[in-house]
Amino acid sequence: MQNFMMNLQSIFPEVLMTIFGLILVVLDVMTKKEKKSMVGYFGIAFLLITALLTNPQVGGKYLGFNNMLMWDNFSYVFFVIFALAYTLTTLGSVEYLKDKGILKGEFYTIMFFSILGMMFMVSAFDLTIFYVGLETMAIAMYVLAGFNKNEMRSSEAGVKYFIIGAFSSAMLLFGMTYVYGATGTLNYLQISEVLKSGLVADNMTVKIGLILMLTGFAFKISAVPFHMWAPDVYQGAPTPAAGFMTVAPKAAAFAALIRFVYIALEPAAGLWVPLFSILAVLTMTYGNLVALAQTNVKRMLAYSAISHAGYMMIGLVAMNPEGYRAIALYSLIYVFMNIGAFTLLGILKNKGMVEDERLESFAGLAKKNPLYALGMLIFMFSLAGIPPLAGFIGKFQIFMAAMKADMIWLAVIGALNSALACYYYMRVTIYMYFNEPEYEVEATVGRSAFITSFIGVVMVLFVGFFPTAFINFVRHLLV
Amino acid sequence: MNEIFMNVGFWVLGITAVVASLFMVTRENPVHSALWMLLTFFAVAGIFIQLDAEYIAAIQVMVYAGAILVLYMFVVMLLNPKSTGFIKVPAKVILGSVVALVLFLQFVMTLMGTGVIKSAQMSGMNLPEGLSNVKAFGAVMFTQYIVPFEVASILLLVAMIGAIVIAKKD
Repeated sequence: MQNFMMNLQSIFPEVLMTIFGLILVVLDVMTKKEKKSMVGYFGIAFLLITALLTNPQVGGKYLGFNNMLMWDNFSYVFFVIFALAYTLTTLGSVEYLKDKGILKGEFYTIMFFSILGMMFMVSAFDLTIFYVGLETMAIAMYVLAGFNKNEMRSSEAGVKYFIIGAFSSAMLLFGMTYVYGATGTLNYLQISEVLKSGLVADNMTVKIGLILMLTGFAFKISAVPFHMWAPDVYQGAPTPAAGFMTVAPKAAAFAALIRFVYIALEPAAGLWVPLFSILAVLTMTYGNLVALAQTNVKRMLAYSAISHAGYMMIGLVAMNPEGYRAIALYSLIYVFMNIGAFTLLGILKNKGMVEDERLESFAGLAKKNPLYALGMLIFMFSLAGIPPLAGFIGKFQIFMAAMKADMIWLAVIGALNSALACYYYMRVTIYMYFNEPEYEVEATVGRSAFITSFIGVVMVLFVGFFPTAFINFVRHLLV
Repeated sequence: MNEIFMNVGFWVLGITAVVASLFMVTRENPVHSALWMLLTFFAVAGIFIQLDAEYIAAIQVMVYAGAILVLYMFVVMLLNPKSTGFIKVPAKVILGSVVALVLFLQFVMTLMGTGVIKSAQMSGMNLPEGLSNVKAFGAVMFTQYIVPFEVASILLLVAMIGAIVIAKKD
């Protein structure tokens, strides 16, 4: 009986989400064609209910199903991050989708189910659960990337994401088979025990398996040199979907990676810490350098998303609780600033001559749409990590974690990189405030886009000035 | 004696699988490719049987050789490609393959040196008392691994919704 209750508590949030997801599918059928955004709003309500009902008390750990599934503060905080990403994306997407003629209930249903997959990824204590969760999320993402099937770019993004995703999943699976073959188990705790016992310490099979698995992970978090899919996918996907994709799946992949490397691979830290340190440096530097050369703001934000993954990786290799707490905080802040920026980007339209998101489209917007320009300015400054804003707090915590782990060189490289990144974020604001417009651009901030960007701006300012609220939220995290 | 038969069987199946997959990727006619793939599947299924994994072998034949391949054939027939014969391989690709082959042999030699290949001796599985292969598989699947099994149903649901959204005409 005790066992049954524990099992139930460990899977309760996911069960709740599944039921709500199925209800959403039914609701989608019942709503009228022009009212499909209702499905999204119901999704927000369902997420709110789940978030309220499943909050574990501090230090509460529900590990069920033969130590395979865990619901604790860590899972909960990341669930809140996904829920916020869903909420902001849904609120901001309505006008964009309506404008492109793809306002369908499935957009919201699929996004909702992708969150379910992410929850399983984060809660998994076993590679099988992790893998099916990952695939649920990934398939949902392929569909979202290719959602605008009237547009070639979007279809291309969907197909490209699908092929690369399948390839990286195959690599991950291949690695898992090696790990399973060498350790005889798929459970994180047992893998850790086997590794600790030293029986397989010098075994090449384990090493090959881990390298393949970590490569698969690197694909999922778009770490350089496994990033080549990211810019095309983020640029091609419908803008709200791209905003969601740069935030939630990445946070989920990071959370799952944290669980896996901190629990299962803790004894093998000597193997993966150098690997991810190198990847972190490469990812930050390459992402920023290439972003400098972009003239399309959407593509620039895609490269900036790559470099942000690099910053988060610093928290991963710090190998201390501060590290993953900083990653959680960073993801939380990143939700607000990045989805905000993507929402504002989505409503920018020039009269169909060239790509909507060209840098030149931003010229002179400050005079025509002062509010729009101000919002974009705040998001850009926050992404760059300018001090009073939220982005700075996130970066600060990450670099602090690196300092604490005696990885000062990594923190220095990170700081230099954020200085480099200032250039391309500032360039957007310079275009908005100091350049004269070259052609007619329309940027009508509709109701839903206004709400999203307003929430984003308020949170970015609020967290910037009063960071304790968010820091307290992640302070008790333990993997 | 049995050992020798097993070994001969393994080499025949293994070489068939490798050769068939090579032919599969070098055909220009997709129908021929698909047929070579069928042979690969059967050879791999044979290897699974040798490893005492009859269930996986059966699934391999039924799902891959049966369902997936038929689907491939449908798509290929619908697209109706015309070309036949080999894909024309440019010289630099051949050069690249040679380099890759040399590297691969080097990897194999290094791995042999560390004793990985030796340590990865194949041995039969220990089945629980009184359960056959498929039964043991099912017992674990529906007790210990019930959660991933159920999550897979959600995965399929999402894939189905997604496929309908992408493929349906507005």
